[in-house]
Order: sequence, then C-alpha cells, then structure tokens
Amino acid sequence: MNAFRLPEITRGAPFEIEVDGQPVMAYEGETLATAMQAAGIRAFATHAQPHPSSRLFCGMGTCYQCLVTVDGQPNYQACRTLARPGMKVETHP
Amino acid sequence: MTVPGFDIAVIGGGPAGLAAVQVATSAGASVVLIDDAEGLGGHYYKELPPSGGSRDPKRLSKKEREFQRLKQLIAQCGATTLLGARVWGIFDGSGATFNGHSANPDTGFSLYLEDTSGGSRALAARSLILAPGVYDRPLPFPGWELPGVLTPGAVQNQLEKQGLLPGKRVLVAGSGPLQMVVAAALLRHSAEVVALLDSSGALAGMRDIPSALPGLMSRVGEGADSLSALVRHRVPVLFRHAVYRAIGTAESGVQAAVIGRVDAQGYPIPGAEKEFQVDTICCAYGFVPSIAMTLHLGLDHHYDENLSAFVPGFDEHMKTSLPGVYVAGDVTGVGGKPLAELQGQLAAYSALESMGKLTNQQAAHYYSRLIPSMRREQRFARFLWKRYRLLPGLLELADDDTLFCFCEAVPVGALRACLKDGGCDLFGVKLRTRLGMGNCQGRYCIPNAALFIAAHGGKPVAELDLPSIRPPIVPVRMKDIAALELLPQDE
Repeated sequence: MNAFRLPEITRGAPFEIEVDGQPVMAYEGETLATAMQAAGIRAFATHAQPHPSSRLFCGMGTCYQCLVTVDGQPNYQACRTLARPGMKVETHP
Repeated sequence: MTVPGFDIAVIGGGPAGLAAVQVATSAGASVVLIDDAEGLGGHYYKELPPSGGSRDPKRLSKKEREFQRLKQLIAQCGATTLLGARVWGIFDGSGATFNGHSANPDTGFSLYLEDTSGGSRALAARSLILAPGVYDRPLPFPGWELPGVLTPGAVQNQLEKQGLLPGKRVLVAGSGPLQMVVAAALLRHSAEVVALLDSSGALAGMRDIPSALPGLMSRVGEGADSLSALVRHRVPVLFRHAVYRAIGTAESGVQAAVIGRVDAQGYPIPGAEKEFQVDTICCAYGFVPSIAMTLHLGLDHHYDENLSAFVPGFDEHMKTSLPGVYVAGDVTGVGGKPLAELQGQLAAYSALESMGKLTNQQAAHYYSRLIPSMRREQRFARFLWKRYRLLPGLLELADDDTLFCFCEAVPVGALRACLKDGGCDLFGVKLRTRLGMGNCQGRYCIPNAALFIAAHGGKPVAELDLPSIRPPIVPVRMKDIAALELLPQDE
C-alpha cells in the first residue's frame, strides 16, 4: 500500500466502483487509475498485453499500459477514464 | 463543393495552443481548439478535472492564478473548445490521406476525433495549428515494467491533476531539468525522496552557458526553489548515476532499486552498486516530441541531435512543408512555455496572413516583434538539450530479457538477434519483431530503437526512415468509426 490522496484537496462527491468484484471508493473527477492506486491496486491488467504486468506508467494516455475492462467493454485507459458510480472494472477478465 | 467548418483548428491546449487561439480569435477567425485531456493547459498548467476537487483559493500559486485568468480569456474569446477529444485521422477535403502525397491541402482538412467517453465525430478546417507537445522518454532497464516504475510526467499528473501521491519512498532518476522539480514536488507533499540521480555530469554544459544566458537567467528562480527543497530534506543528489535495475513482483510492484555509476557516455561502471528500498521509481531521460500527427500529415521531419529525436521542419513563421499546416510549442524542439507561447502567436499570425485576415504589413509588424524573442528562447533550448543530451551507453542497461517494446513484448534479445541477422533500419526491425506495432504505435520504443540500431551497426539515426503513421493514429473502437457520419466530400 503506498499511493494516497493528498489531504489539502477538497474533493468531489464520494461513490463506489467495483474492481474485480471488490468495492473501491472513488471521488468525482478521479480517474480509474487514481481510485485503483489509492486502494492499493497497482497491477492493472493481464489480458490485452502479452507481458505479465500492466500498470500505470505514463499517466497521460500515451503508453496504453493501463488498459482495463469497463462494464464488459475491453481496452479503456485507466489513466484517462473518469470513474462513475457503479462502474464495474476488471483487470483479469 | 466546399466543406463547411472552421478557419483554424488548433490541436493541443497547452501554452502554444492557447496563445494561438487568442491571437486567431482576436482577428475574427473562427477557431476550434481540440485537446485530448479533460482540462486545458497541457502539461504546463495542470488542472484538477472540472468535475473533481478544488484547491483552497487562498493557497493558489502564481502559476495557478495565471492559469485561471488564461482560462477566462479562452472562455470569452469565442473559440469552440473540444476537450477529451483525440484526433485519430486528418484527411483532405476529398478524403485522401496526406502521407500518400495524393491529397490536396487547398481543399481543406477533415479531422476525425474520438471522444474519451466513447463516440467519434468529424469537423473541417481551412488550416491547422498543431501543438501536440511532448511526452517523457523512458529507457529500458531490467524491471522497468514493474508497477510503481513511473515517468516524471505520470508523477506530476497524479500529484497535480488528481491530488494523489503515487508513493511514499521514491527514487527520482533519469536525466533532465524536470527531475529536480518533480523531486521537490514529492517532498512538498511529504514523500521521502531516497535520492535524485542524473546520468549527466554535474558540470556538463558549462562551456555553452554564454549562448543561453538570457533564457537561463529568467529560469534561475524556479531551479533555486527546487534545489533548496532538496538541500533542506538532505536528499542525496548523485550525478553520473543511473537505475541499473528495479526489483519487485508483478502483483505488488517495485520494492527496491539498484543504482550505480555510469561513465561520460552513459555506460555502466561495474563495481559499486547500491540498493534502495523504494515503492516508486520515477525515471525518464528527457522528452520526445509527439510527432504522430505531423508524420501522419506527411510533413518533412529531421533528426535533432540535441534531443536525440525527430522533429517536424518549420520556418520562422511556423509554416511546415504542407501549405496551411503550422506547428508550435514543444513539438518543435522542447523549448518550454515561453517559446511555446511565442510560436503559438507566430503560427496564428502566419495562418491569418495566409487566409487574408491580416495584411502582409500587419503580419510583418508582429513577426518583427516575435521572431527575435523566439530565437533567444531557441538558443536556450539548444543549450539545455545539448547539456542533457541522451548518452548512448544508457541503452546498454537493459539485458536480453528486458522488454524494449512493451505493447508487443519484444525483448532486447530479439532486437539484437534481428540486427545480427542483417536488419539495419526501423522498417526491418518492425517487420521481424513487431516492435512498435502495438497500442502505443511505437511512441516509446521507436525513438529508442532508432538509437539502438545506430549504436549496433545499423544506419546512423539521421538516415533512418521513420515508420509510416496511418489512420487511426491512436486506437479507436471500430463501432465508433462505423457509427460515424462522414463529412461531405469534394468530387
């Protein structure tokens, strides 16, 4: 566990998303990558990439290393996709 | 028939694009501003997402206040702003692509965009100002694919756009002027920075300082602030050092970093290795200009020795080799915000002159005011990137099992074997190994592969042909393309 939310930021409304069946807390305006990292999830996906570990890397939508499946649709960039209440995210479909 | 649309499409909402939009709208041009992020400002001004959190208004920095004013100007200037929209293809008015050289820029430009939230759309413009910026340049080393190994850009975005500290014990490494700024930002947010490594020598570039003095003086304050933070927190600053390898697991990520010395050419000096327990490694060696779009348009490019990367060609009025297409900002050579703003303005004046919205005399007045400043900033950029020039030996930190291309999982060994086997250019390497053919479309591996090929007996980098970039230039969902209403086309 390492990433954590800076306390000096006033955040939007909190809500829950689901990552691999587990509830994860997110705040309005956060990307999936942020919510996942804050919950201690660092390894993102193994399906779309032929190598064993995918994760946040460039953090700006260029490297496509953080792809996840969202509500059954594959290949969403976790670093660019804003979390919405009730989203079901899969890293190991 | 003529495609209806905008006078000017500005692509990229960083300092260059924002400056271009202000100039272009002030002369009455109809302008659309497109950026793939959710907020304006590019990588210079980092904005929290509009629907997300806020900072205490009383604690905003000078830069944040400047950005608030700038956003207000953009909101009031009459430009159409499309955020979260990524250009995946540019065609001429008849639907032809430009890198096939059959297209005619006189028919205008048809742009196809993919929205982050899904869906595709099209629009037309008479001219283009391209300000796509840059991205970090990571180099491969064993373990660089572990979760927790991040680029400085990722660390900054997480901190400033998302309010998330990515790790608690961080090693900042690589090379470049940003490293110190990132380390200072991490310290400010109570992370522990175990060390700051730079592969270059502490005194590199001293001889060239006189040529860069005016640009240098204006930046001393920012550097001094970061440096004093490092001193205050007693962070060891080690020049001529690099990350040799990262240790950890695919599930929990990086747990340690092994560092060591490198020589003046970047080759590792065997012997004294040191291990740090860390949860995060922040590492990159300068920047690569985002040339996917300029390559897709078939513009002339050349190799910039200081940046060790290809950049689009342009003249002092920011005109490229294709009529109606202008470039501005870091894509032209990573000169930072002051140069980006000057070039954005120049590009806009130039576009306005070409479409008759400014007289030649009016335009000449602006050129004479802006061009000397641009030259001064360019001299600074050349000094900076010569001082931080990428050292070829750093490519040898990777072993045969290290992935060179993430997306297609091409290890260094496969690249070596291909070169031994007679491959000597990017095209051959790409066909034999699939390097550069994955989701990121070679944005990370191709610039490094060019250097690797040259260093291992292939063609010199400047003589290498860059791979063609065909639409879609970023991954797009087929259903979005299928659902798209095409623009009306010329006969």
